[in-house]
Amino acid sequence: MFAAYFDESGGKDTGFTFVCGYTATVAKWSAFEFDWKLFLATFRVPYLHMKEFSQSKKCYSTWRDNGTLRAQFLGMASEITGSHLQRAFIGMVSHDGFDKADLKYKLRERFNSPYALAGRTCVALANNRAKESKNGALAIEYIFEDGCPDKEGLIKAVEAVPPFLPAPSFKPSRDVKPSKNWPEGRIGLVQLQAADYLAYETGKLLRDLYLIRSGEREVRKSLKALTKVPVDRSSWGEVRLMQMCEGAKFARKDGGYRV
Amino acid sequence: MATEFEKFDAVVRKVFGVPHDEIVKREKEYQRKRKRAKQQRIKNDSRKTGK
Repeated sequence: MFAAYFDESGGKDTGFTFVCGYTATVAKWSAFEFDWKLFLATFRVPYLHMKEFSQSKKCYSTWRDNGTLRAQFLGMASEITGSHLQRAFIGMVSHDGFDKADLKYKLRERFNSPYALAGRTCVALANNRAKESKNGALAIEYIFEDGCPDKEGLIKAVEAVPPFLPAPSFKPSRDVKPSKNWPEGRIGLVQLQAADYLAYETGKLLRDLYLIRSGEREVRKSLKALTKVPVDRSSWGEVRLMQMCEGAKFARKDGGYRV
Repeated sequence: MATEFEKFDAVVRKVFGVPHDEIVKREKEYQRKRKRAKQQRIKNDSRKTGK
């Protein structure tokens, strides 16, 4: 049995949506969970959340000027990720390409948002890996970070577009306090924190792109460290999106194909 | 001309397309070259100033 955990980054403001995550056997995830919780306890923080970490907010507020501690923290996180997880996935969608394809074809009827397409892409990549396993097709569970931008769109994209794949579930990456909707609170899955790390670093690569291309900045060490786990990636730009709409005979907005 | 998407896709491919061992090897090589260049610069400066 396999499990795959995913999180997203990017969005309209950056022009790209990324969904990133990892897969491994349930046994490997259990070992990961043990080591990850120990790692968090070592650094005396309740969770890894890259946005808060990068801005030295909340539980990381005292780490602002402690470069050594920050580097050790990310170094250990990537070490654990690299030693337990088997495959990483990155699904990337250009918003500009998505909008252009949607002007011509009824793309949003199938994929409600760039997030739904990126998430569906990751599910398909993980599913292909599970099928390639030595034991033949293995059951795989897909878990996405709750609070994602388009939960319903993703469920629809996974269930309604062939090849039909198992529906994903949505869980929090951190413990959630009891509330009206969740009287007993919710237990966070630390596995999703590894996905958060990869999603953040991929998004940061985009933000640093100009500096990297002009030679002013190198690719971050914290991203390079994540390449220990082999990555399957799939990108959707305008050309590929148009080809998909054309090939899958999506209905045209000017009244072409009928679906 | 390459679009924003193509440029970024190329960088992602480059970063994630290279095996980790190769990245570590290149990183070491880069650091070695940088160190050598720095030493050379210090040597040249001290020759110029005569100190």
